[in-house]
Amino acid sequence: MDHYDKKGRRDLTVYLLVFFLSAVALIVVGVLSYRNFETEFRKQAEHQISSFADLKVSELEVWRKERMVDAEFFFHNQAFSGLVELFLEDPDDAEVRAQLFTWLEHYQTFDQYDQVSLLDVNGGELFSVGPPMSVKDPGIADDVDDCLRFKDIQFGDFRRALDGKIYLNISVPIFRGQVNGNPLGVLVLRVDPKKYLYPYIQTTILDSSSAETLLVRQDGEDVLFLNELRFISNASLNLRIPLTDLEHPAVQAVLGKVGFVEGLDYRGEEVLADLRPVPNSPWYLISKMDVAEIHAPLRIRLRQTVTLFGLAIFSSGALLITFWRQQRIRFYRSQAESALALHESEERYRWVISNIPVVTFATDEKGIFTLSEGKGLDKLGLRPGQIVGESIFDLYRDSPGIMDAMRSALAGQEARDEVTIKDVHFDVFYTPLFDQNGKVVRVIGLANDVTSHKISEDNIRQLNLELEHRVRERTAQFEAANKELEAFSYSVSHDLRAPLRGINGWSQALLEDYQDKLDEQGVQYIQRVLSETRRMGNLIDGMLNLSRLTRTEMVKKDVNLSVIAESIVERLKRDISSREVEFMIEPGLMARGDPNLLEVVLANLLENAFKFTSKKARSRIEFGRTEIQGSPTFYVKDNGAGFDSAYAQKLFGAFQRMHKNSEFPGTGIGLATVQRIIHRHGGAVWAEAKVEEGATFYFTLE
Amino acid sequence: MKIKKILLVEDNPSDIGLTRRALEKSHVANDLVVVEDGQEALDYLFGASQPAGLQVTELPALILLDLKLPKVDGLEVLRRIRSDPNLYRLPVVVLTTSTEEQDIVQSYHLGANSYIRKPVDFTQFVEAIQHLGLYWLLLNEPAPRVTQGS
Repeated sequence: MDHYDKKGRRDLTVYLLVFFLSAVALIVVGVLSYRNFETEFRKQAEHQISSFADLKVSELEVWRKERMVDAEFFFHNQAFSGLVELFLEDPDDAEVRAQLFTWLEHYQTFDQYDQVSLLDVNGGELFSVGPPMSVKDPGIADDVDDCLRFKDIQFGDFRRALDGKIYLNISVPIFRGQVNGNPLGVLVLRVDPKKYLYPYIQTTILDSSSAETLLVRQDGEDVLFLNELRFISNASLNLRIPLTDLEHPAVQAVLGKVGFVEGLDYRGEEVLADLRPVPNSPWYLISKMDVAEIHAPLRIRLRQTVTLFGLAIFSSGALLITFWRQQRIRFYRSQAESALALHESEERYRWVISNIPVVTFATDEKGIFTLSEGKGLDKLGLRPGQIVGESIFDLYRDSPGIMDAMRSALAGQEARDEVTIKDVHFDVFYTPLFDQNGKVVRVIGLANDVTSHKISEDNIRQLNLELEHRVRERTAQFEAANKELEAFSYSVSHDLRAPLRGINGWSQALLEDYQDKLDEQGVQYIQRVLSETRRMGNLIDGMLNLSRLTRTEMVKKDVNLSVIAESIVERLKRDISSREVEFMIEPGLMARGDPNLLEVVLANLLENAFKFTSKKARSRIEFGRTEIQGSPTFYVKDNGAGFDSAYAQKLFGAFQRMHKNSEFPGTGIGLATVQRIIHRHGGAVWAEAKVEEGATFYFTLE
Repeated sequence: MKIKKILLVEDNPSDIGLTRRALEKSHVANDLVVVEDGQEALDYLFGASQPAGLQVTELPALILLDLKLPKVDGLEVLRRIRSDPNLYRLPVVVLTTSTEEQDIVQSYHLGANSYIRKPVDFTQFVEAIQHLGLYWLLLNEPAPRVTQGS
């Protein structure tokens, strides 16, 4: 199963890599998109802040210009200076006072000054519109001095008066007649910033919980906060930050920095601030917003981004995992299926191997069993696999056949051996298996149970032995019988012929010596005795010949029957030259057999034919070959006396005769002899005949 | 010149008579000495006994030997004759009833000069004896006898 896991791990690695890359890509995209958003957002925030700051600064500028316009209206205004002159001449002149009041009140009311006062050159209050200057401003004397000295309008700064309130004074020197005239006094346009300016500065058009505009200026080594603050009260002109605290945007603004900075505000909060000087003034406007607030949507956005991309990463991971799992499932399913198929096919083979009645085994190169299967094991009392791990050389060291066969198999030779273990006979094949180098790495063996085969073989062998034994017995019996027959023949030839010869001899002696004492009939009787003894002698000779035929050894050769027949015919013609016989002998008839015996056959048949045609005027005798039922068949045909086919079977028995001796003399031995010889050659002989129409004798050889 | 003797070894009296008759009819004038078994024949030939009319030193000119004999059979007699330095040149004609091939083969193997089958027909028998006597006793020149005395 190793490679399955390996593949799984490889797949997993690929999937993890894909996941990792896609996650990195997503994170990069997320970060970039977030950065982009952040930048955009920041720009937007800065844009908001800066437009806000623009607005404030321009309004402040306008505000200051308006103040200056107001101031300049009085500066070098001869009408007003004339009026002030008149007032100075008579401060109690009601008309003058009324005129002065109208002038001043107009400005005080419309231009939202807290107070418009006319001071003398020493700073003493001469005339005021608005709330009386009940509380002295210690700085006012300096303002008066400055503007009288410089003969110009002095735009003052926020300053705390003795009543604790903050005012801003614009001082206008009033001169008699022209500029170089004597100073008459100073007109002070006092602004209460709380009434208009501070609220205005504080007014924000931004929908923000932290947006704030600060007005600061340098004051010695500090930055002085000029206006009231959103988050702490009573800060104006009280709150100071040393110039060394550079992390404060206010400090940076005062030190000349323009534009956006991030830093800590007076609360210590991180803020984004727009810094710019208010033109023609010592003031610096700081428009700031808490970074926290600015970043709040960013955080939301970040959260969203993180969530979104997290989700994306998660889903891609989940997708990949799902995909991987499906892949794995598919893989494992196919693995399982092929494993199942393999298992099934293995099962099948195992089933075959386990059930065929043989023993299948295998050993390693040392002869240690690595496999033993098969039904044949039952007969050895072994379970499948039981001997696995054991050495064949230990287990079967008592079987030299196995040892030898195994050794030659390990030497690379196929071997075969028959071995008997526990009464079971095995035919065992040993086949060596080689590696690429031709070294024997294992031996596969197949032991076939041949017990039943062996048993039947043994039975057959036993039967054969018995049969041979019986044949030997029979042969011995036959030989004994043959010996007996030989002895018998011998006896017959000696013992029967001797007395017969005696009878014949002494009869002859009787006839010769006592002829004169015998009458004619007596002589005839003796002659009858003589002929009978001769006939009996012939019979005995014929019988002996017949028995000899069965005993003589056959020597088979290729024989030309035509030549033999010709020589027989020649002899017959010579012996009885008186007869006219037409012989027709087919030339070149070859056969295989014993030449002497076949000559006896042909002699008998031809002599018979010759004999039985003797009463025909024209005898015709034929020797030839034909084919009967696919076998070459020789025949001797004559046109002689023939015989009744009904007796054809008796014809070949010894001493069987078809004709009277007086007609055709014979012993009845000839055809018996012929049959004996033909049978000894494994052939057949038979005859066809009709009375007075001749006979045909057929014979085959093997 | 002495009349040459013929030794007939034959146990059958009828055959002895017929042979004697046949010899007479053939005008073979020799003396016929008859012994009736193989042992007698050997005794005669080796001089152990002396049948009437026979001197020890006088050996027959021809031996007519039957095969089937009491005591010692014809083939044995023939073997003994042929293995004796004094007797082995004697013409021996096997005269028997048997035409058994093995008898013929054995006889010639042991050194028979002729093998004659006694025919049943006496006329033929006489003819055979006539030829026999004519050939062996008249025509045939016997080997010179080295050991013969005066």
